[in-house]
Amino acid sequence: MSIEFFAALLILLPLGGAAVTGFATAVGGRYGIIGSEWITSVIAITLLAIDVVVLLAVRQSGTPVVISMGNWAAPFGIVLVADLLSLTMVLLSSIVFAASFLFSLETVDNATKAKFFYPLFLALVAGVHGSFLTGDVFNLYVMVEIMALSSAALMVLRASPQQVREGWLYLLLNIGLAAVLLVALRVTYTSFGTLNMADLAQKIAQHPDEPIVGLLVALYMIPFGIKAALFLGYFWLPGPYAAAVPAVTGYFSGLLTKVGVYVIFRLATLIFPSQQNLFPILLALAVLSMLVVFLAYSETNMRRILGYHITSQIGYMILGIGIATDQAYTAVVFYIFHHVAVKGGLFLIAGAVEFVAGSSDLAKVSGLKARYEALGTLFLVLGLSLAGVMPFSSGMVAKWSILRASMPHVQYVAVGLFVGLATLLSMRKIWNAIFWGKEKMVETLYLPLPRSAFAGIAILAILSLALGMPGLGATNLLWTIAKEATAMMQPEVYIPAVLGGT
Amino acid sequence: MEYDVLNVTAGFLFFSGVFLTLQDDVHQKYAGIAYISSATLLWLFMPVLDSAVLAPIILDGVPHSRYADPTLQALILTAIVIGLGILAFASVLGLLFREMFTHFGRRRED
Repeated sequence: MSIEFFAALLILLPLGGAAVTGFATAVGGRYGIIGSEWITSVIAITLLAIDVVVLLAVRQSGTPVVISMGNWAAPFGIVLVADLLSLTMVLLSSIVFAASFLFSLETVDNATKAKFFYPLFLALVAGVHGSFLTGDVFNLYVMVEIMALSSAALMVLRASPQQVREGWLYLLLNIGLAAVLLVALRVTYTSFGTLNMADLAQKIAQHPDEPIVGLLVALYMIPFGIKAALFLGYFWLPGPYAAAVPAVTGYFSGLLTKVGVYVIFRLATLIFPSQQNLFPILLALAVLSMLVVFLAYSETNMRRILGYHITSQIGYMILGIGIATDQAYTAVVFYIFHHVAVKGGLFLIAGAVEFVAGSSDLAKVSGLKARYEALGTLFLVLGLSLAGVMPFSSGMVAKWSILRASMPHVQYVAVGLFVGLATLLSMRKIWNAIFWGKEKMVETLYLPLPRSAFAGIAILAILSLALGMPGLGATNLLWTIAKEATAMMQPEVYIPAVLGGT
Repeated sequence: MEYDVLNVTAGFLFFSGVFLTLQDDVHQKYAGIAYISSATLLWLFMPVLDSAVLAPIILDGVPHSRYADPTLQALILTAIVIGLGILAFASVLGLLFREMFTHFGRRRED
């Protein structure tokens, strides 16, 4: 049981789990669903444990774990590369998966679960983990397609008209993006003769001025920029996220767009660091994406409002990538960690509001604070953390570190602070409409919020608080890991580790 | 010669695929995305034809540049399988969509 085997398990476990739970759900009826829940819970815990083990091993050895699938050495065979950035992302994904799983236990009805809810969710997790861990651009395409197919299937699980409309458009968009990505792969292979990321980075570094490299930047940035919901690519996001089953939107909001951000991060730091034109474009996209927060003002549905906030928050991450200093990269890793926990928690709260009140429309629901005080408190913690104004929460630390890294450019700091204020106003709008005021619900059943659902949200809220609390050491620990991840993803470290020092 | 013909075919497939995807009708949209996928695969396949001389089984005394590249063929096979899976799911979803909505995404009232 080598460490390579453990790292490969991060993809194999959810993939195998998808097969087993799929079989159980298909033949087992009600017991099959209960069995799937048990299997999924075991997988969620095992994933967390394995990831921590691999993360510790990689930190100790100081080099990424490289797994050659099929035993072919790096530039020819397909490799999985587990460096600290990938493992941090996988850790995040496992945490949000565990929280979403807890949330789904009682809030998703059995009829929906019988439509292969858990198998699809596990396949989605496998696709996301694969995208984070792969060291090969074609394998990245395969993993992104697994992700697209299973997320589209999860979006239309209840087959309501709203879900079908949004899911159909989401699927069409993803097929189009897959075509663009394939064209990018063909151009990559015919001009550089390799699909391995490390090898590609090496070859592009040797010929940085070839015009074809500029084309490649565009061909990779278009699909992943749209998948990351950057400016002008955000149009697809709020609709499907407001239509899907609430339990999975927490995971969607946290991880689907973050795969796009992760790939852009890798492209900018590993493959195209020599392309100086890329970084001003990233900065411009970042500022425009951050300003998308104002589109949230015209929305009246809680989940759609939060959907626009995803784009605005991703703007901060791309801002850090565009600034392109080590300090900024470290801040980006920290920011992604903060954002995924907080945004996932907020979407789960929107799901909880829909569960207890029948809708998350600001006009139809109000005054939940009286009956669901704990839920309101969690929203307050997460919402203020998202805006970055709550002291002792991850939002404050994350936003502060991004803005401090962009300090040499005053205009970005100004936009960052301004957008933070705009986010706060938007959170205030949700708070005022849904939690304050006279009690009003669509279905007045006064359902109590299930304990497991509450626990799912609470995990993410506590994570956000722990990351910002001075004296606990979590902030310093994550900051140190982020710093080591930044050092490890530099081409000088990454390429020899994958290609074996050649 | 055959290379040019394939180039033009792929171009036309791309063109009609994009055109059809922009139509309102679900069938035409579906045909459009199928065309775009096929055009991409065809275009992906072209470098193989350009260099294809010998099957990639190493023989004595044959210079390496005479072999066809097996990697691209493996890529195309993978892409075909994935594309077909997604198109199959899209056809089901498209039929559901057509049942529920008229053109322009309006709700169909029975």
